[in-house]
Amino acid sequence: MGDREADLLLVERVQAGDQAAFGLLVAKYQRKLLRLVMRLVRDPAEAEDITQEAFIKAYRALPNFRGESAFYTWLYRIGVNTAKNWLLAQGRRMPTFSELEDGEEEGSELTGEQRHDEETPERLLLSKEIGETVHAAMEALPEELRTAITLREIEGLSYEEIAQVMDCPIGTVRSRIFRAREAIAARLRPLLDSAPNRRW
Amino acid sequence: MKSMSQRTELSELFDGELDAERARAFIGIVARDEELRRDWEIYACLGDHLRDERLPETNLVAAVMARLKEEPVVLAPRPLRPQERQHPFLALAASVAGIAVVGWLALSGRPEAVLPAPTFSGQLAAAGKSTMPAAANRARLATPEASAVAAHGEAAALRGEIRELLLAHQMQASSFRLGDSTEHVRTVAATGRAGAP
Repeated sequence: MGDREADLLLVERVQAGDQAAFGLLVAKYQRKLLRLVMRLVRDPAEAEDITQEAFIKAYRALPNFRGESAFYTWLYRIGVNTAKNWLLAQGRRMPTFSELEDGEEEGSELTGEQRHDEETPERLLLSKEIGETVHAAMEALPEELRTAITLREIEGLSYEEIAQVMDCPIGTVRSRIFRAREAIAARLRPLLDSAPNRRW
Repeated sequence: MKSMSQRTELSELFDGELDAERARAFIGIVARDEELRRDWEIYACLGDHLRDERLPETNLVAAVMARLKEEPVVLAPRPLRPQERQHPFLALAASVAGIAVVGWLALSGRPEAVLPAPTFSGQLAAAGKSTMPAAANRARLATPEASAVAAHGEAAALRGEIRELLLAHQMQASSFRLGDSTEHVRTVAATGRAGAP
């Protein structure tokens, strides 16, 4: 099984009438979709509403999802269309590829000024704190755990590939990735629990 | 506090590395367990922030789930998993097998071995009835020998007419043309029918 198959199992669960399983998909893809929408609409405050709307549209369209494409590809398409419709309603157009690339070079849609203009200081602080906590926790990890979680989360390798790279059994890879996650999560929990709107 | 094995399984499920059967059952447990759902959320958060330091922090889960309470429950057929989809080579293999069977029948030279072609042969018979000249019909009423000779001649003439008709039809039809090989199939089928008692 891979990421795609795991998503399909979650989709199946939702299609069988389990709404709560959709929350797992939202948790998994919300930041990726938000980042994509932000690049398109260049308005952080609106981007969050559009992303939320895209998830609702995805839920409504889920009976038509047959698994021919990966769930996230399908979800991103809905996100792009929702952003496009919003831009049309505003009398604006989608940014071109070169405009998106320029934005990336300058610091993306989230230029320092825009972030300060559109986002609340609390949210900016929370983003910064989470980033710093995650990276501090990574630095504190034993090397074999840091390597395993890096290969998984940043390089996107499967457990089998990580086992080959690290020259160890696949069971060891499972254990290392889990221990790395738990170590980082232990530092993140207090921070996230104190943040507003964290609980389901 | 959840057991270590459940937390390990959650990590594996998050990475798509849990056995499919176990994953199917475990998703149901996670979806109903607040603590496991929260850990799933934290795993997603730490992974996203590891990949992108400038990522804006958000949590849309609560807002989306609140809105979903007003939505009708989704009920849909199970989507196809990749291993359940038809393999593209199956269609190719079936085509090759079909061509091989027809080719073998065509080259075997045994009219009685030809599979009956009810639709096309039926058309042939119907066409034969309507297009047969009156003189030929009269010849049929003569002696059995003469009748057999006449029938053979009629069948040959009929095949010729039908072939011309089909060729003319092929030339008219631009979107669908029968290949050269199908002419042999048609000839065999026609021969088989004409030669049958």
